[in-house]
Amino acid sequence: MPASRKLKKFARKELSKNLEQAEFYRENLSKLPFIPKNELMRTALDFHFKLQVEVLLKLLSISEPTIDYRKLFKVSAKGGANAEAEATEVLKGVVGPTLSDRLIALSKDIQKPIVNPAQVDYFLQTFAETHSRWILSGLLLILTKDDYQLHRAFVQTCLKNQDPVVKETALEVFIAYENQRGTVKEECTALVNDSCQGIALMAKKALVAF
Amino acid sequence: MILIEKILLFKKVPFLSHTSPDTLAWLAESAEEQTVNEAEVIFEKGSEGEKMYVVVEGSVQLYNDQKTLRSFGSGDYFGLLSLLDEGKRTASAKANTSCILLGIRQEIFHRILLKHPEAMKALLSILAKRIRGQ
Repeated sequence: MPASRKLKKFARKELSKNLEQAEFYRENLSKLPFIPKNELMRTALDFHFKLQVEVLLKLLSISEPTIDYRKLFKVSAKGGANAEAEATEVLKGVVGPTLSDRLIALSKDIQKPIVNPAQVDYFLQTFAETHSRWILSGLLLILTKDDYQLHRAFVQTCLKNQDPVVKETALEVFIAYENQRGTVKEECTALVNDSCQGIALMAKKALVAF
Repeated sequence: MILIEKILLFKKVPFLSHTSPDTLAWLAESAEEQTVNEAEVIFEKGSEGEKMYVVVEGSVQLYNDQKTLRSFGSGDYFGLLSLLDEGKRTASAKANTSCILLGIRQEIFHRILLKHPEAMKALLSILAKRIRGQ
């Protein structure tokens, strides 16, 4: 099989996989209300969604390099029903009808306000195992004091995370919501010499307040 | 102020709002946190513009010859023009209340614009709107 055909076959295979990922992030964004405590989680999901879209644009270019897909999606999103229909037709010629409809759907803005918001528990179940430091930090910030009591173990795990951003955010949530002050004191004492300056400083400040 | 809070604050700055969290994290790590007392002068007209500022807390007044030009609150930014043309400050700034600011040095600001065309594009759009509005 010639190299270009092999590459196109590979692109086609990867396209469905990446499309699924992009849809996954977009779907979760559409379940997360636009409120201040969700801001980082929204930013994180949107960041991962856009990363997947960038990969999709590259894969589409491998399948048919003569089309400006970025422009196509932009026109489809802002240009009204006719522009959308034209963009769908162009995409159909490249990826077929099913995938083209799904790709066009990605270019649409998410409706405000969120119609069917999901609960904090749902987001924790869906993303607690992620390796993304932004999503983990976002999850920590969507917790309220009541949520914290139910998801204490998650915060504890994040406190042990190697990434300083996740660890620092977890420490802030932990200090704010943990009822057992002895446990807070113990944790902060262990973190006063942390290699991350922000974490060490926060731990010291918390200890001074005792 | 933890890194995430700085990131979220920078995200409110219009020309940075579409920048990735990784870039904002780098910016947040480079930013200098500064506490300013009420009535303290932040910079004076005619001085070198070394930094632009984002207001974390409090209120800042931009003035020229005792006349207030604009006031800035949490999430607003000021001191941008001198970083762009490397010219002197065209107005003075002082704290209306005690403030916490995040300062971004010129070299950091330039690096962001050079590495991230989307930030550059958004900034140009803001400047164009300002010119149209004059």
